[in-house]
Amino acid sequence: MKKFLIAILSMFFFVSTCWGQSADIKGIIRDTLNKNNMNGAVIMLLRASDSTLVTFTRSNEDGNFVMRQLTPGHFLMLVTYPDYADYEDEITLKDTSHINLGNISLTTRMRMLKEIIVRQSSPMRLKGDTLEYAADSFKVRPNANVEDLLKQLPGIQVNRKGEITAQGQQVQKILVDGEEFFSEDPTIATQNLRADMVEKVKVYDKKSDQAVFTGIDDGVKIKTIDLKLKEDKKKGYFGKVEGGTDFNKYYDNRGMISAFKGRRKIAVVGVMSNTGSGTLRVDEADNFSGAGGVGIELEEGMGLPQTADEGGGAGPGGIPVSWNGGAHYSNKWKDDQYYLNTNYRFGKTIVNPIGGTITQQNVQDGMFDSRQQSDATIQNERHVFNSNLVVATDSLSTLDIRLNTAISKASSQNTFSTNTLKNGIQVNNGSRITGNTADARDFQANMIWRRKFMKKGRSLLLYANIKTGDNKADGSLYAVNDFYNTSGTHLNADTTNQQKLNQNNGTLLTGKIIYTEPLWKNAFIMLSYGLALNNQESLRSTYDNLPGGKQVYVDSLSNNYTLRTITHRAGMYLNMAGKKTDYTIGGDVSRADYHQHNAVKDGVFDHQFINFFPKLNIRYRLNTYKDLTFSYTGITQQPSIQQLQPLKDNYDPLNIYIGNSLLKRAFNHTLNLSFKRFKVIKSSYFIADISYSTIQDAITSRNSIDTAGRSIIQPVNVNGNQSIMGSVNYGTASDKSHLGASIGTKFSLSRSVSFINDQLNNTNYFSPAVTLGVGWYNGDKSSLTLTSNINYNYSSSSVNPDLITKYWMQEYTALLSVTLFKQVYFNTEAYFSLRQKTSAFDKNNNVIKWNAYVTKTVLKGSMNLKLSVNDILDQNIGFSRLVGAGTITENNYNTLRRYWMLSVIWNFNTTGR
Amino acid sequence: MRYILLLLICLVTATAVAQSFISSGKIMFEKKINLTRIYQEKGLTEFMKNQPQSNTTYFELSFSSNKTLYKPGRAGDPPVAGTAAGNIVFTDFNTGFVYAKKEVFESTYLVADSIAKITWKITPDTRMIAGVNCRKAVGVIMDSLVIIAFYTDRIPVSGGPESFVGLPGMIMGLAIPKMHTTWYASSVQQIDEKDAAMIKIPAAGKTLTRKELLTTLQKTLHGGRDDEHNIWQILI
Repeated sequence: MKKFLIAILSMFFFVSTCWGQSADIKGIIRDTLNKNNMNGAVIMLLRASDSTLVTFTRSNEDGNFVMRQLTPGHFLMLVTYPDYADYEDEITLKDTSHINLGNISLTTRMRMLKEIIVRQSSPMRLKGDTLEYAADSFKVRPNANVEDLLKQLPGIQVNRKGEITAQGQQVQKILVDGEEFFSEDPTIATQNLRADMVEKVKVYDKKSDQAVFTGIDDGVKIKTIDLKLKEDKKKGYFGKVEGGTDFNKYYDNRGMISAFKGRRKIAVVGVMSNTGSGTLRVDEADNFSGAGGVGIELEEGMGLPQTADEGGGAGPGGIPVSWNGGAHYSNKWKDDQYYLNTNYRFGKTIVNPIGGTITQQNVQDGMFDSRQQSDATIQNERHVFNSNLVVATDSLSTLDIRLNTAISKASSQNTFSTNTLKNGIQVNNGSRITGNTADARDFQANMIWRRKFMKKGRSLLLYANIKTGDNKADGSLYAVNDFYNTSGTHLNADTTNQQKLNQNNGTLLTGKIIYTEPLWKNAFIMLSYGLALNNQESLRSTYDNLPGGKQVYVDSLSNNYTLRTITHRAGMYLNMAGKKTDYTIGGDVSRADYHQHNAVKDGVFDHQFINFFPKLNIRYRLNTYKDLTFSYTGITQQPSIQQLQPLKDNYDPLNIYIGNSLLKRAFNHTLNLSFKRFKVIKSSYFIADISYSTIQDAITSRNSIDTAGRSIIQPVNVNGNQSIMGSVNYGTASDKSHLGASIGTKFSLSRSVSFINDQLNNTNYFSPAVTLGVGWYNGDKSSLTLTSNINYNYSSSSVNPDLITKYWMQEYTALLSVTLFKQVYFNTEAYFSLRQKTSAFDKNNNVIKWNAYVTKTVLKGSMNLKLSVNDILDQNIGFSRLVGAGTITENNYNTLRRYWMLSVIWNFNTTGR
Repeated sequence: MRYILLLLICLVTATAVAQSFISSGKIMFEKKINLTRIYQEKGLTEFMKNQPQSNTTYFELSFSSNKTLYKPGRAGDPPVAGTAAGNIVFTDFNTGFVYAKKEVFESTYLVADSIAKITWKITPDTRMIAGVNCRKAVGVIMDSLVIIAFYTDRIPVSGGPESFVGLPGMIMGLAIPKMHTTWYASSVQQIDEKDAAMIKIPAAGKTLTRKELLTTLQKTLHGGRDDEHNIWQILI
């Protein structure tokens, strides 16, 4: 009996092991165009991890194929037929999978007499880490620009301001043919370059130049879109000129001309507008971060003196009248050995913000309610010139030289009136007039020499940089304030009439050397050392204006100091790149010596900090389409000079800021885990990430309100700041049904510690949000996109636990574009925002902003007439709300209201002929 | 008028060729050995100055839907090293056996064995060889010898020069970097299946399996790198 049982059992084992390997796949191969069944197509099964050929078969006369006796695993299925585009898909097999793929359509690669859009294996493909879209696979209107093309690409969204999001992450840089092209303002490229000039749109996370060169990932990721242009479109010139007016108040004129010839690109662009749209972003303060991404990460507060704009204090608002222009020249010579890229931009803006602010602050015994009205005129003018020369001195080394100059002038006049109550009783009120004019000049030159050696992985990088800047400001302050006691009786009045002169200049010299050496197979070590010398001088003189024209120097509000810092920074990183896993571990240590001399008070202040910046980064590549990354980063945040130096600042006599020389440095630990998965055939992506961060000795402001209702603000260290943030994004698109959908969720949970009126306050903040988007696009004929964003905010503060702030915010967007009849296009967008009321404010804060325009193409496509209406329901009220540690601030301000405009757009194009 | 006609003819022929498979025919191969590189590796820089830079010999491969016969074609340069330079290989996919007649030093052997299983990795790279589109695959034989092959699915026979088989189409190009040797097809001709009946098993010498041949060679060739190369040359 026993023997019989064993026999039966072993038979089962035997049979089941046989059956264990009986996964199979079958399908039918067809031709997309003729719908014929294809005989003799090769179907291959490759191991997903390394493309090893496991088995193959051919389809029969009916197009049928079957592959049997397959072992479980992850595979790639590749179907080929002569003169047809490859078909690829991922397949996972389990022991008993019986997969029927149904009809698999192959598309011919043959050229036909009439030019039609030829699809390569897929309009979207993943090449390494770059997602590539074949531009011609996505139909757009004639004369459509790159922005119109980007809106069609699955996974990419463009919002009203022209900001681009790819796979749920914001795109920070747009390159043209791999090169910078007015890169400070991506909309110049996206709104002016024609869609038909683009061959491929590449989306990837750009690493810092240092990481690209040394091969060691330092964790820096800049989401970038690179527009690769078609070779035959790079000959000739193209551009557009647009003039719009409403025959009354508003105008919007802009133009761009470009001449591209092979490697040489010349472009000139100009805008003259008072509708507040499309301003070239010229006013980014000294952000010459393009310096190759290399450099000493200076601790905060040690950078160049800022462009003086003190005393402005005007919030958002106003409709800017702006004039902007720019020119670009870039070229490559001698077989790409020499590359030159130069840009000039200028911008002049005049804006007149008029608005009010309501601030509610919770304290232990009640609530402070402060209201302020302001009316300002601000004028800014800025000229920026930058150029970059790259020379490949020999096959192993390159020299990169950059020069940047910026000159700016600003002037502002501002009138304020304020009123503060505590629990309904008057505490203070007042008015103030400020004026300011400022002039700034900045210059920067840097040089990077990179050299690779014969031994693979060995490289040397030398970096030298000099930055100097100089700014002067002349401001005036006239303020009258009245103070009241606890029962509302008038106590005293205070008048301030002062002139403030500021002068700052600084020079920064940096040098860095980075050496990378291979240790053993796929392991590298990177050593770096950098030195930064900084010299800054700041002269602040405040004078009281007395009747009769005399001026008295105010010691307590003036200062004259010089700051000299020497920073040494050394780093060591070990990088191991395995077949599937990449590790980088290491860190930087720096020593900063501060020497500050206060000439007015004759004090010397010396500080020395030793800071650590550890880093750990692990990336696990499951296969070409999936990866998981874990990182730990430690950053020391040093207090800035403004925070340490005890100088009283009274620009706003009701909000006084003082420094704290005993501040410790803060240390930020951040842990991050992220997972990405792309499915190329299904055109879908999935990205999830979560990060946790905690700050030791965080620097925060201690805010005390004195009996007169004045706020005294001083920076202090606190412990206990933590936050968790996460997001999950999923998107997919179907070519057949022309539908795309995306869903995302974000949340953040944080605790921040601060002081309110000398009391320790813990604010807990929780904010989940869900975003949904659905798009339907029918090539160049019509498209509809709907998005919704629902956000819940909850915050509570320990100082006044009964006052919990919670509200919902919902935003909905609808974009519709339709071809009405021949050559007439209609486009409309509606933006609907619902803000839940909070108890203190009566205003109903629901807004619907609805814009529409109609364009008709005339003169054989070279000219467009456009009639547009902005804010049809006249609902754009300027409003913003901020919730912070026990405080709610609401701003309202003047904005552009409803207007219509008639524009004529002339497109010219000689490329591709 | 002439041009339109020409265009139409081109289109028609293009369509005709594009849509048909070549299931039986004859391929002419050119085998090239880069002598300069071999001498450099052996350190014979002086010697090589008076020697030819490369050695080219010709082969032809006749194939039908399930058999291939590879043999020397027209005369080329005199064979170098004199070992296994003029193999005749008959592969029968029906029975799964391969017969190769090789001249090894002073003896002639017939190596009869089952068709070798080569592990190939498929890549997305393609190139045109002899007018057909070929895809690149990379394989490893004898544990360390890397071979790069270009095969075409226009010829649905899993064959190729020498003993290289196993891809979903005919191998039209083959390169063995370590041996500095390449085989490239220069032309493909379609032949009717009935004319292909001339494919036959060649006349016999001493019959061995691959393993037996390897053992025999290892008895005499157990020196350094030169002998390793010689073994490769004989066993491929």
